[in-house]
Amino acid sequence: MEGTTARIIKSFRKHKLGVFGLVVLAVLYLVILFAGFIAPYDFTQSHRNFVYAPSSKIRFVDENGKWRGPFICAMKKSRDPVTYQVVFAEDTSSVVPIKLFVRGEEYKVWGLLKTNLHLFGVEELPDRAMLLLFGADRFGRDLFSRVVVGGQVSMTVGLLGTFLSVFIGAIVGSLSGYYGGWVDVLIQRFIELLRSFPRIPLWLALAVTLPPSWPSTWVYFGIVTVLSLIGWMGVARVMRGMALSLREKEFVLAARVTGVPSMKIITRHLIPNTLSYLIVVSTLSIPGMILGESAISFLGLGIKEPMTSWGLLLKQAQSLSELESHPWLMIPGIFIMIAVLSYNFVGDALRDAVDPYRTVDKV
Amino acid sequence: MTDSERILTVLNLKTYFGTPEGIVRAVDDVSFHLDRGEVLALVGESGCGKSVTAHSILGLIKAPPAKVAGRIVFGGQDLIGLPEREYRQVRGKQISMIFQEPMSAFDPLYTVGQQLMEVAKAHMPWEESEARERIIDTLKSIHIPEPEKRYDEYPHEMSGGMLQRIMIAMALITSPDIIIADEPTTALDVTIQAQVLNLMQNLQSSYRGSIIFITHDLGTVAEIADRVHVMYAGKIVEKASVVELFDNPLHPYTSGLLTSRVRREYKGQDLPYIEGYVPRAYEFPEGCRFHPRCPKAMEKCKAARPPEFEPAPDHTVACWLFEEGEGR
Amino acid sequence: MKILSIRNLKKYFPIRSGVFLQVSGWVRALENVNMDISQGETIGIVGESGCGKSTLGRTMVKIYEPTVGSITYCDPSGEIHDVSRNIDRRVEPTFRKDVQMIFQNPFDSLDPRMTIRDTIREPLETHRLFASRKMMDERIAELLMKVGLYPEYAQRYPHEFSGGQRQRIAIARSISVNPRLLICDEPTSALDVSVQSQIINLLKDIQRDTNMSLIFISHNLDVVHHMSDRIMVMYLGNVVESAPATELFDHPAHPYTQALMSAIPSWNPKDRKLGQVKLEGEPPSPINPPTGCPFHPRCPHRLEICRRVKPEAAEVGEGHSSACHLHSV
Repeated sequence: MEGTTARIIKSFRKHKLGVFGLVVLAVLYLVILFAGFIAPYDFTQSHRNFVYAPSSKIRFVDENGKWRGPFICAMKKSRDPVTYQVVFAEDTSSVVPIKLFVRGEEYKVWGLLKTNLHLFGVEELPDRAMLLLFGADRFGRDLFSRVVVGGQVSMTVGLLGTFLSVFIGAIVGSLSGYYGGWVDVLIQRFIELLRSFPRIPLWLALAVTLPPSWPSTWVYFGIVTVLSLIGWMGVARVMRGMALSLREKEFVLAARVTGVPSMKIITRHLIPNTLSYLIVVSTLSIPGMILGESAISFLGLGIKEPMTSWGLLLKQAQSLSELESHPWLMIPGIFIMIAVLSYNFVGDALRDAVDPYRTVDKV
Repeated sequence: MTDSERILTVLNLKTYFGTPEGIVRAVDDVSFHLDRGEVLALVGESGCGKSVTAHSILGLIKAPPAKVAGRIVFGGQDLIGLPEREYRQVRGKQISMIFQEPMSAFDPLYTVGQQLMEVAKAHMPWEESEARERIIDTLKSIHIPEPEKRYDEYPHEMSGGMLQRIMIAMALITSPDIIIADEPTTALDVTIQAQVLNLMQNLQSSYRGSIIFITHDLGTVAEIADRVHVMYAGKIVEKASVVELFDNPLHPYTSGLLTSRVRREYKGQDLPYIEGYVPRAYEFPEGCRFHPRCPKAMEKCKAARPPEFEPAPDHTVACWLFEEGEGR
Repeated sequence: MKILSIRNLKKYFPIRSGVFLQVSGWVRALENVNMDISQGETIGIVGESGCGKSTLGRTMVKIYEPTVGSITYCDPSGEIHDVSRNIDRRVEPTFRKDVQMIFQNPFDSLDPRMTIRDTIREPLETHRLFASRKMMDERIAELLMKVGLYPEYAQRYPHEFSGGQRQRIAIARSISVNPRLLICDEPTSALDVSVQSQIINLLKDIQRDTNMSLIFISHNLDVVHHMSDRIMVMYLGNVVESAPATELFDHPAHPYTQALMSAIPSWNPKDRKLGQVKLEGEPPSPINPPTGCPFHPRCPHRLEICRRVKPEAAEVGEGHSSACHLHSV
């Protein structure tokens, strides 16, 4: 239906926030796709001279008032004589220029190629000066690099989890609605039972079942499964309602009368006719998944070191005193917020765009 | 018709909609008038603009994206461009409407009494108890059985026919000058349709206002109308009194509609029909909009829009066949 | 040869409520319907909304399972099968091919996401009637021409067509597998007046060419009369009268049939007749049907007995039966 698709796109483009959200998401996914390249440092590498270092000041003009292009200064670490706290001071006489395409710490491109080329960075050794956009954590790891890499988990968990849960939900829901009767009663009561558990404890209970000995990639897929095992129910419920109304539609009756098998009716008539709904609901449920992963990881039951995710990064910001002295540890939270909001904007715009009351021809 | 009082004049009404497919000229240069006490039928098929005409008169067309132009003169003022606040005084009080789907015209959460009361209170200076009395009187006057009981019932407790009658009562409460009935019997069964039409007919004797009766069904038109305007693709193609129209239809579309009625005599033969389909609103043809389906189309019909001719007194037709000297 | 025979057919829909959907009542949509349909014949079923005419049509094509009663189907080789409950796996394909249906709402009866070609191809594919895709496409083109459309329309989507055109497409789909019985459920009532007659003519033409049987369901008496050889009048799930079409119009026997006929507008402004319609009230709910004769609360001629005893169908003329106590008084 080219006509409809064109209309949906046109209508979507009118939704400013939706377009904005889409652009933000595109940038985020581009960044995580090339995470190792964009991150100036290896996200697991600790640097003991930069434990809890704040973000570097990017300067353009040196002490003598001379234009030097973007550069940072080397850091000098000392202890406050009274509180014994570590304080960092810039050595303003030093100039460490920020360059594009620098050689730095090694990483693997998509787990295959080893390289040490980074999009930007400083050529200085990381025990004297580090380019810390978001500061460093308690092991002196660059938070920016960690956010970029952590995004790989956070941004894909939602995508995969939603895909899985919409898949399960669409199938279970359409079976329930199409067949009706006892199948329907059983499925619906089962869903109600599951949904009567509070969501987060259920997540946690399921997350606990993931064996601690699992390697981090397994844990990742485990988390995806846990999230979608709970997420499919909402989809299934709405899908059932749509299947109930669609199965009374005359085109479905016509197919039945012709003897088209039930499974074929479901895959050929029911699901395609709910596709626009499914797309909208997917977009709107991704934020929930992202937040879910964050919650699980934040509570220490999700993604484990050395892998990282935004939720796990936030875990470091759990105590108030930590936050007070190192506020930059909250930055991953901002990213969660940006991603969630963007998905919500896109979802809202999509929903408005496919809304039949606005796109149907009125004449 | 010298002593008749003209209560509504519609002049060159144009209602256009902007849609993704192009500009829809749903009502295109329509003029007519309504006298006190008469029933004027607007007849036509889907998409001919009859309902849009009604909605334009009631100021229910949202502009933009729609554009309403022309003049709608009612009670000495032009309704087009009237501010919404003043329109509300007219709508529902002086001009009221009966809709096609009684089930969706009532709010399922309130009793019909509450909904009738709402209309009464919005427009009439009555106290609650007086309003209730008047509403029940109105229900009685249209022979609704057990009006006191009905008053406290919810819409879902009633049948479509009963609700349609209550909607008629609702339209009558404010003693409006004009009632616009948009396909009021289309959703009803034949036997109920007969009852509702009967009711509307009887109403005329007691009620001094006029009725604009919108329908696609010429059969009901014959039963209820005084004058008939036939619409096709946003235009009025023929205007005549009901007797004249059925005896002597002039426009090929009108006679096509009349002959495509399924008559008992046709059994065993093919039914006469009009070629083709009603064009969609964004692709109305040039010239006379009926020409692609017209059995008598001439070259001229493709090029130029026919103006209204008046081959017989009080009987006008927009068709080139009746240009001076060519008429039958 | 009878294609379908229906005996004592009842269809009650359960009204369910509660968490485990216990049955709390029944909608009595069909009560004791008998009917035979022979090759080439057209049976008209007429009645007001809620009289069970659509339920009857849908039960015949097994969209609904009958509650009580039997439906027997005679396949082309003359073998008779009981199809009332689960249809035998060997019989089902033949039955599904032989009995087709067209629906009321042309805006609802075509899948909006499928092209016309895919829509018409679906039954052909299901019944594996053609070896190659090319032959199938040729058949689709031929079908489109037969129903008065251009073969080029095959790649378009339903939303590009008007109601009348869509109904033609639906007809093309239903006749694609050469059914012997076509059930038409109000096929013209959603169409414009000027288009209705085209569709009626088309159905008649197709019937003439293929000698297929039709069951024509409508609330419009004139249309049913035009289409049918025999007419059954239904009221509240019951067949109240059944007669050859012309006979029914000339000598309507049941008071309900008479009332229906009197309610048809005259189309003559000089002879308005709706004022003379005597029928009062409205059809009662099929959840709580009246005792005795279902029509007695509205009947102008009701007798004492009508309240208590349900009248049996009685012969009142040749092939003309009517279920009314007046005939036996």
